[in-house]
Amino acid sequence: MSKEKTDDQELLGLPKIDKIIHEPARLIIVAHLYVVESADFLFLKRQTGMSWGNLSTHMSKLERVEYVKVSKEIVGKKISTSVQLTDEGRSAFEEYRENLRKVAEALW
Amino acid sequence: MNNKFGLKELEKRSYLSYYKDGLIDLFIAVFIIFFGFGLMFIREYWYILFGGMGGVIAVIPSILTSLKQKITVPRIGHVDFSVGRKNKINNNMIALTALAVLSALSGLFTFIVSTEGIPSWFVFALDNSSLTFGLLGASLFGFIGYMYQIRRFFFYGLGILIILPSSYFMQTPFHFHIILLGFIILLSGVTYLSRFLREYPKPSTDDLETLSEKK
Repeated sequence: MSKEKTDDQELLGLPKIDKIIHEPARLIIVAHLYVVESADFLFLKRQTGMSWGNLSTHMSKLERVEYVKVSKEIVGKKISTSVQLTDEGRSAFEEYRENLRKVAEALW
Repeated sequence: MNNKFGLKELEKRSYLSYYKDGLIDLFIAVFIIFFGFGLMFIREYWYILFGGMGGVIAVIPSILTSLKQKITVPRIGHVDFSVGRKNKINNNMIALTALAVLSALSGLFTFIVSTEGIPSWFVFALDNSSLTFGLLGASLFGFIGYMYQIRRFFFYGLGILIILPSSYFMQTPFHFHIILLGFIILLSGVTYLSRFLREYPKPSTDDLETLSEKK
């Protein structure tokens, strides 16, 4: 079935949409990380309005495909977990934006 | 729901979230109130006021940064902004420093004219101080609002344009209007701060540690 879908996409000449980023929650996370150098979990939670669990789940998925890098550092006496987009993550997001734009134009 | 999802808007919102705390409003309000009381008691020593203002402006950024680390960052989280935004912030610091220096130089100027003789344009400005300060204050707040992209500063500027010159028309002491303005901004700052503290409670240490462990 997935092969048929791919054939359909190729038939229509539609560019491939990155399904990892395309998920709305992950899209909003990646978009926020794209416009900054790095941010901690609390900042992302505040900006996205997601729950801790939801944020953690989506962050794990992004980390698995190496779109984000999670690092821990000691700030004062507390451990701070900061997240940043990897170079691959940035390129993937840029490609996603471009492909989405092409799809929108093709469908318009 | 906010329909603007441009990346520029996203970045701006991330940056502006750090100014939802109302701390800068509180500082400015206290500054204005003290200036108003200063005018009430040491009016004849303008240069001390201006010189003092310069010193206070120079010190505000470091105190504000320290307070933000204690109050804002534990509630909003920490972010490392992009290079472009950091450059803008640095430029703002340079502009504030220039303002502090200008203020100190104004103090020096008023000291010199008080001893050497006052130019006529300065006499005019002093005679119509409520209008002069109204225009200067409105311009300053407009400038700060533009620099920091904080919209409510434009409204403060508008308030200054109305409240300060009104002392000229109402024939009431100028320092009362300055103090009134200070209290209005103070009220605004307190409102923003209390709303911020309610909207962004400090996360429990358990939440943060559990999240870190899940990684």
